[in-house]
Amino acid sequence: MKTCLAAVAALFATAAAAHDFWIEPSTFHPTPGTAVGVGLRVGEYFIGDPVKRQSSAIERFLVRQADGEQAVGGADNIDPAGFLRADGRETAVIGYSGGGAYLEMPPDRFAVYLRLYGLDWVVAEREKRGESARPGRERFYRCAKALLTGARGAAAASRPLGFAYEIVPDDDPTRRREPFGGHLLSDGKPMAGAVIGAYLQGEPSIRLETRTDSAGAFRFDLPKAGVWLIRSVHMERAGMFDRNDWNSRWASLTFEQPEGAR
Amino acid sequence: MGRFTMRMGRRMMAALAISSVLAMGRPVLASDHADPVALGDPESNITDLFFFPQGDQMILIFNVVRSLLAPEPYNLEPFTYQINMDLTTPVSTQDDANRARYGGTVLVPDQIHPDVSITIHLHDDVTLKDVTFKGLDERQTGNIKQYFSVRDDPFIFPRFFGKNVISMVLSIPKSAFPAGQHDYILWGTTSKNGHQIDHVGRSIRSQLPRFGFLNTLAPKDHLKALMEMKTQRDGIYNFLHTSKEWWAVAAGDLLQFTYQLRKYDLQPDVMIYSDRFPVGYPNGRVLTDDVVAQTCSFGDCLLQELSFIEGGWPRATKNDKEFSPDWPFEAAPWPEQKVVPAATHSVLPWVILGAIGLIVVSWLIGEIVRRLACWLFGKWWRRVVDA
Repeated sequence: MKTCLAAVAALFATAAAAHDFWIEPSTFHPTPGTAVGVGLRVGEYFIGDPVKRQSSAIERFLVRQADGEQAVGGADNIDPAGFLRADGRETAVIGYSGGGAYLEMPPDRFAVYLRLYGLDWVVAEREKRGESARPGRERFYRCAKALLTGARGAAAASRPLGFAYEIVPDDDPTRRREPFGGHLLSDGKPMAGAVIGAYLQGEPSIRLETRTDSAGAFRFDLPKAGVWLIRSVHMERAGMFDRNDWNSRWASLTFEQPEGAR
Repeated sequence: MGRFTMRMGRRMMAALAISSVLAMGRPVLASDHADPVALGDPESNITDLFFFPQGDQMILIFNVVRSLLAPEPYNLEPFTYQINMDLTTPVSTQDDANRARYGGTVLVPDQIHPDVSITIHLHDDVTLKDVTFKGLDERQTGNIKQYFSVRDDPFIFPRFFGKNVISMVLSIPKSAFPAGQHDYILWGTTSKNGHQIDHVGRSIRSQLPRFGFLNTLAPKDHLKALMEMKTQRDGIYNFLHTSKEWWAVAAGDLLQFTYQLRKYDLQPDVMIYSDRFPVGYPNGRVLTDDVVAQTCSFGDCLLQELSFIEGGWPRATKNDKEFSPDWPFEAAPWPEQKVVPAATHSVLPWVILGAIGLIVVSWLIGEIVRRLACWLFGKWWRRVVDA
């Protein structure tokens, strides 16, 4: 029993150190001209804690909607991290990139976390390099996107924002209920073999997982309408002079898929 | 050094910008009593807007001119007083926070428009010059009861106890509105020569220092303006607050509770009334509403503090005169007093202002010279060491 509890505690501790990161707006269906609070969340399985705005950590924080692209403003140390005025005429894309934070984890916790996110190859690589007993030293970058449903769909929903790691839907998923297909891009190029997860808000038991194909494509048959989080994490070896051994990139996309027959 | 000086300079400029903004802010007084823009034209200064049902009537009270005790005549003729009502833009009461603060959420704020406009011109003796009713059932406008006079200031706030206002009271038959009308979005304005001077929506909003810019805008433009101003002020705050200099951080803190727009500010300044809920601020407003305490309970306590500072103990939660249950509801006016001529302008404030300016400029020059000297010394020292 004690072992079991310790394992659970270790898992949660690991999760606390390495979290999914996503955008959670105050509404996914803004009416034209209304203010939308853009919350940032960090957590697991689409259950997250608010992340207050830290301007120094933000690389890009923008919204692309019918009347063009604007920066998402906001005050530091406040949740929601940003505010925008929704145009509402068509699907809007909110994007956030930033991070660059450093973290260090004991080797056993680091291995659990890597396996949890399907990064077994990193575990193998650490073994090969004789680093398995060394703490995991990582720097992470976050690239999150959200789609706000508008009066009509928008081609912008399926266009990349140019983030370092990015989930790009093939079609605007806010229009109708259908299988969700997309591509995963790393530095603008297709990312093959990466694990992609899908989670439904309010139903943490629904967890879908797949891998991208050689063209970076993936597809989910989302079982229910609702607010979905699609996420992926990618890790690569850091440079020789870096303090950390690994760089991780976290991509997410949140949107609401409408009710309705397929 | 170049970069460092530029960074320092930007911070100093930001701090000076804040100082300027703060300096422009004039004393905040009460309800809608003290929109700074209105102080130059006291007769344009809106003090209150009330809207509540009474039997088969809707009572509308629109007050102007704060701290009034002077006898007639006043200077009312140049001004246009207008109350507008949007009866068609949808209002939601689903958001609890917005309902508590604003009476509801206007779902399409950039489409707020006047379906009803009541335009009033007064003579300088507070008698009616003309009134027009646009958008109400014409068969009923003749039945609208009207009252224009000096009355006690109904605002529950110590500074305005014992003071009067110019009051415009209308009793509008509910039948003058479209059948089945449940939701009302209201706002009032004053203007002169076609230029809007003051605005009132929900009480204790546009007169707060951070909202001054709303007074000359139509409600449909409020949210856009609020977003732009929030972005601008947030940028200054973030810049100052991430500085190493203590005074920049302190200036950021000062900005935060004075002029920075808050996350719950992003709503147009209008009064919402719905007969689906009991009347009372912020669902319309009745004379007995202690709006200062209510507004404090959801985030704006400036007037609450002032009411303690200027009032006695316990804090007054009722007006200093009993309201009348009958027409025209507001209490009788306080006795007129002779206007004491304003004191001759003193040169002293200008001397003090000049001295402060001189100190700031001297400090700026001193700081630049000091940093330049440090930089030159460092450069010279490196050369000496290298040699």
